[in-house]
Amino acid sequence: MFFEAKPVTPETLLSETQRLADANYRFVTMSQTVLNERTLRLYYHFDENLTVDELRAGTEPASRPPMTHLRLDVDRNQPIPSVSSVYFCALLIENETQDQFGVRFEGLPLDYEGAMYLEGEVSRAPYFTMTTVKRPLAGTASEDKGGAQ
Amino acid sequence: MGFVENIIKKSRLKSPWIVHFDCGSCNGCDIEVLACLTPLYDVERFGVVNTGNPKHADVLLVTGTVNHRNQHVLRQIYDQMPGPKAVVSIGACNLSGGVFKDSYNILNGAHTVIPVDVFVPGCPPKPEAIIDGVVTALNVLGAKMGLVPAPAPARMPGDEDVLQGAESA
Amino acid sequence: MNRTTVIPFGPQHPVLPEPLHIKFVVEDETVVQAVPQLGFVHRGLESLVRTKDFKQMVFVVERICGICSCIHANCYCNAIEDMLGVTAPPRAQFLRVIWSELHRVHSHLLWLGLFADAFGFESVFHQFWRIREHVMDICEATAGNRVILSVNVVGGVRRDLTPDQIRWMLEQLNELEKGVLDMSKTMLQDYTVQERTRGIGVLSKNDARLLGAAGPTLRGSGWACDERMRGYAAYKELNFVPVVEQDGDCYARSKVRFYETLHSLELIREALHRLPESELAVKLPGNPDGESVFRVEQPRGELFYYVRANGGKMLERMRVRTPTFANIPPLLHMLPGCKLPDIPVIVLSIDPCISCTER
Repeated sequence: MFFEAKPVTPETLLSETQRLADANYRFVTMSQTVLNERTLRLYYHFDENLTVDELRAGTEPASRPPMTHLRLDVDRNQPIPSVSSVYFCALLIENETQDQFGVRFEGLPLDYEGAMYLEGEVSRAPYFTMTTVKRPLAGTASEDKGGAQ
Repeated sequence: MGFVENIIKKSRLKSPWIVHFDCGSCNGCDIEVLACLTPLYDVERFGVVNTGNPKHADVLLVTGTVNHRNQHVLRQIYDQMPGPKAVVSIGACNLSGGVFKDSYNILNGAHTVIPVDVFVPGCPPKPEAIIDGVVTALNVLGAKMGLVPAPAPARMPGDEDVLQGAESA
Repeated sequence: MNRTTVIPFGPQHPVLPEPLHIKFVVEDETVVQAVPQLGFVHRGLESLVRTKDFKQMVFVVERICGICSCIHANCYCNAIEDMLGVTAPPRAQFLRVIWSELHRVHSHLLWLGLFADAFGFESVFHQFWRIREHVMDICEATAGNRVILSVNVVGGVRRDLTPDQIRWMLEQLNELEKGVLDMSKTMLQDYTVQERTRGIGVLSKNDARLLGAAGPTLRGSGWACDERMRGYAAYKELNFVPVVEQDGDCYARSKVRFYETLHSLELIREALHRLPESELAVKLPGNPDGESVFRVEQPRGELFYYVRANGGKMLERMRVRTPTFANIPPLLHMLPGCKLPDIPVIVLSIDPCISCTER
């Protein structure tokens, strides 16, 4: 389905997210898309949960409100505030974005430094063309990589 | 001495122990490998035992795409296995990268990392094909022990014509 | 005596069917912290949208995960159909439900078996996998392949069911249901099973929401959240109710999956009886343009697709959020405080599908 997203800025992102968290929303995920050579567009998707009581009370599931979306356009050289202080689960997806787009998030509780998926040998961020990313080399990222048994 | 050694060699072939390593498969091949062990196909009746420990294993089954990170693990598991050993490469992704071949993180198959003895193509191959691949691997294993004549070296499916063309030219 | 030790778990480990590496910091026998390391299955297939056109991508998304491939394709096709402004014909909608639910049954039976294996009940593992072969037979007979069905195309489906096949499927489903019901006493009432799963890996209701859990992990903690309630494909015409448990422990999650298996069998039967007559696929009016999101329910939870196209044959960007990706933070929350022998039970209780997670 097509969707409407509410635009936010890096300054208002955290307060908006906090507002949704207080209103019992669940963080679904984040989507990234490259707008041009410099700009990355991030979508934050949220959804409401339903309890059994609401289901019994006859809330028609098909009439549930659709997802809520936030839209954030960022410069790829600027650090992006991390929402993982509000939703801890945002940590994985933010690390993944670091891997694939070569951007930086600020305030990650667990930072793989762009080597969550990719080894040091893959030095290019796969989705921005013409970029080079510094990744920790194999072996320094984790000392016991092999660890069979 | 030769007598005892021969008995050990022959019994190794009668009860091959298998270690299965999933490089990065979509699980399609994995569940088919696992299905071989379950009641319908039940390879244990042939003495095939699935072990988790590469140091106990004779045959290595590899499934899934090989990428930059798990190639180190694959090589390590191969090195830990005691010789003589055989490697069976299962599934289109493991043979050549399959549909993911164009992706940035993919190596072109397990045979670029370790020597592979038997190729089992398919996406995913049926359990019967996997069992057949293991039986073929046992011939290779027997040849490495000097018990049977060596079978023709395995080639990547699809490469045969190219190679034959090159040989005849 | 308090000494912390780091225990690496995986990537090649007997209890894990897939390469996942977790470092456990343990104090004596108790886990203090769990740090995952991913990337062993990362294939980067989202980048393939640049080299394959939007019809070919169906075959790529099917191979994100072999266990629920049909549902991946279903979601992707729905997202593209939304952008194109077409809907699949009614018969295709019902057939999609039938194959999706077959995949759910086979995935849940597979999981129930692996879960039993995780707490050392190997005979139950073999029993569940024996029952599961009925589903594989149905898949092979109706779609020509055991695991990856390749039935979905953008605009509809490629294969049809004949009346003979429907009759045979209904017989097979009866046998399947009998087999599953036979296992209910062992899986739900057995003393050993309850000892190993009750009160282990508890996820409270609020934590489940804040940590973004999905699927049976979320429903086991008391949220009635199932994408099928939204009525995509033919679910709006079928009699669907979500399965919800309140306890939030491993036992609750296995109960959710067990009852969902039975409910899926009901759904397949209902869909087979009410299969409408129509064509199988519609003609596409051109190339997709715009942005679209779509969500469906996988065996492991909510699957999310974001697709962006620019009117050309190739898509501009595709992003997949799979349920296990959402379930890893709850897992990291459940593990600290548990005992070492309970680790396999808790790890398996979220039904980890690493190939989905890393794509």
